[in-house]
Amino acid sequence: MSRAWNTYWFAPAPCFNLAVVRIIACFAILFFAWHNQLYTVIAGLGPMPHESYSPFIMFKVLNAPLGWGAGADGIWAARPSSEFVSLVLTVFLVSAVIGMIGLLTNISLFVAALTLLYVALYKYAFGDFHHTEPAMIIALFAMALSPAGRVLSVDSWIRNRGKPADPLSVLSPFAGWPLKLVQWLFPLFYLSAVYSKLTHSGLDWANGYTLQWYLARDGIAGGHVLGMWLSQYHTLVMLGQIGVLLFQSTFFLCVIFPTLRWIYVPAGLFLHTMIYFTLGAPFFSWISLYSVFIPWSAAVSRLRPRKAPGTAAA
Amino acid sequence: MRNSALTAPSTAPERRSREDLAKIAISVIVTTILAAQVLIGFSYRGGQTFPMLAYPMYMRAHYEGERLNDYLGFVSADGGEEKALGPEALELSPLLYQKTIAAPIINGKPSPLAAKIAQATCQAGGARGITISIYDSGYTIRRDGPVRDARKLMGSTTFDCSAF
Repeated sequence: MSRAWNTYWFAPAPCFNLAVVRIIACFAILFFAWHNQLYTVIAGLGPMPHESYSPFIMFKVLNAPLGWGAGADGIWAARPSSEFVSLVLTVFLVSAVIGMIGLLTNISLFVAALTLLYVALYKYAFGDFHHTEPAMIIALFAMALSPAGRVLSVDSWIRNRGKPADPLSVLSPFAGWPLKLVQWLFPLFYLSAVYSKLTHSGLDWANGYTLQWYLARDGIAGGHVLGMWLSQYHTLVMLGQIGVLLFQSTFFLCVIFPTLRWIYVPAGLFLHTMIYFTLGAPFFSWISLYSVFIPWSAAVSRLRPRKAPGTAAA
Repeated sequence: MRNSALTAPSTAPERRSREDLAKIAISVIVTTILAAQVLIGFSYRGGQTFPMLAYPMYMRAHYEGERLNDYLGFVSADGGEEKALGPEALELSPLLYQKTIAAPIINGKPSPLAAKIAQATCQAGGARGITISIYDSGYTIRRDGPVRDARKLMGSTTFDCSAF
């Protein structure tokens, strides 16, 4: 059991895969911050009445060092000012950039994870609760505990005094587990989603009208033309809903059988892209974290021009 | 004095034991995260366990003939003309608008934010009373898509300006 566990999680894996995911993830969170206008959102929450402030437990814990005060629920931990949260957001953006280029990689990824957690919890303290950040926060914390900066990084360039080793050849027993952890989180997220739908609504959920209703509502509210257009096609939408249930309930298969990723990864990318364009839900972090399913090292090795026989000796 | 030839044999086991310790620590982290996600993902729909969450988005089934619940507030001073007050005007996200403005008024418990809006309107217009009314989108879902109808009044509340 222990050997199987170690083999699964700690078999030497290419650091290249981890580094590519690090770069994509950091870029995605920077894009997310820009797209969601986080500075504007945070500034807008500053004048919200104190009665609207109802932070989650973790936010109270994170704010405990700042002082004590009364929240809407009368429990401890002072409410930070929006200026302070904007400062935390700046630290987050800087650490994401530094993490992307791989300078002090582990520290910068840890800071990025912690500050993203803080900013998200601040937003959610006012009731505007979404599910877009958790996967990224967990992924960043995991990468902060891994050799994510061993290759494709300023760290590796400094370590090797400007002559980095071939990034594809560097292996580590700790390079695989963060990617596998995120790979397993996805099916758990999807199973939670399908479980919620079926326990709350039963198979009626896939009646076509359900998604037509959401498409029309969010399409009208957010001006999503594609969603509005799609909401007119009952049968197509119903087939889409059945597809969603099948996709979410069977996604775990592609973690167990990697060949199936050729189907599930494009399907998942299509699903989240469509969700963005029709319902306006920006799951960019999920889209970017789908990169954990791609064997980057093997793909780049294949694309590399091979040396002709005899050139090495020449 | 450090002698690499002498220290080499003891360095490898040391490194191995450090690696083993790291593997144990990471195993605990991985197991905790996955177990927590399983537990929370199938049992708790709130946000207190953030970032470990359930994913119940869009879980409610809807049926033909249901009205779309995208609500919009209208403000009127002293029973005069109603002016739309959307999330953009208040610089709120659509979800926050629905939760902090629309839903509390529909439920008969106006939020402090609604009172704040009324207070600002009182001060700006010199009115005696401010009414905030919440209407639905005026759309109903049909087999061929949303059909527009008249907006339906979902709830309203009146604030006395002299109370501010």
